[in-house]
Amino acid sequence: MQTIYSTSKEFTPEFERAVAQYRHKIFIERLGWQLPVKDGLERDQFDRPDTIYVVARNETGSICGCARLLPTIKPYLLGEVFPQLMNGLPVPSSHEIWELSRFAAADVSDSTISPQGASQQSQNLLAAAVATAAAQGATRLITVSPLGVERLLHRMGVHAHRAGPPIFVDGKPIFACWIEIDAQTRNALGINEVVKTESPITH
Amino acid sequence: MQMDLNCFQSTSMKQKTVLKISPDGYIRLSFSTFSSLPFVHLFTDRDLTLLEELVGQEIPAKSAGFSECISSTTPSISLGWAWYQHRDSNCLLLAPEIVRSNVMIVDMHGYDVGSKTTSNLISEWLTCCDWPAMVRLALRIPNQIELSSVCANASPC
Repeated sequence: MQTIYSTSKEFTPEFERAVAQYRHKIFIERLGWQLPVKDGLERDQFDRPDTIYVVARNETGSICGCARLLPTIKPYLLGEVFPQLMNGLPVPSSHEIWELSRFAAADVSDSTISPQGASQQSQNLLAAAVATAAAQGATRLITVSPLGVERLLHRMGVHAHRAGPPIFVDGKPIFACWIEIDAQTRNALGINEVVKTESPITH
Repeated sequence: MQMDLNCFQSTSMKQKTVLKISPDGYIRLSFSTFSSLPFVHLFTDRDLTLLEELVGQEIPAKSAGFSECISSTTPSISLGWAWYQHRDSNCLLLAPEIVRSNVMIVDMHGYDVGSKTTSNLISEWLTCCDWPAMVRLALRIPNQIELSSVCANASPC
């Protein structure tokens, strides 16, 4: 699996479209999320030219994972749509806090992958996303996630904790989750060095 | 379905406990304060993926799921845990996973005990609560518990 990261303005139009198609396959077709869709592409108002993406590709070049990073000093999903998940606290707004959203690690072209293999792919993608956010100056991540993500994070050994109680959206419980980019998380994800932001691998 | 988590329903419930969220999102409090808070059930659901995982770990589970409860306080303490129903005894037991929360327990000096110790403490606290009754009610599981050693071992209280 190859992991690349970049802002969308550095993507080719074809690659940006491929990412939106992949997100449609995962979040709309597989998970049934009710999100904005147009022509089989999943994009929303937070997919801006300066949004940072981490994208994983398999050996054949097909996208097999994605993640989106947004600084909380600009409009972001939790801040704009789900502030009620913060349990009464103001929504974060800091250069050191970034939002991780649209996280998926699933190879839709490979149905033979084992649960262990899928778990490792998730961990690799999360490691890349955390390292990329850290390179931007993030010390913490905040996410809006389905409850199952919490179990996944704890199994990886990541220092994660909920911001408050879950709420139901479209019949499914979601919650806000903090991910601390500290020694525990770095060790759990095997992040030994910070990704150099000066040399993103663009596509 | 709203119901009390039948746990530590003591006179301390009548006291007004002031909770505060730290900037990092944790609600910090001592274990004794935590233990005195009233909790209510938020929701419970079955989880087939969890069941498959537990069976894969050779845990004798016939069903599995997760439950959520919150404290009757402002701000809310949020707790979530996974459970399974023992294949032979029908007992409901905590799954071998950490309890998820927005809590950080502090020691007598006010220092964090750490997320892992906090989870362990809340797990122990849960074993003294009648959460299985809450799950049975929420999922309409018949109360057919056999008084086996498995059930006896489930609660140290």
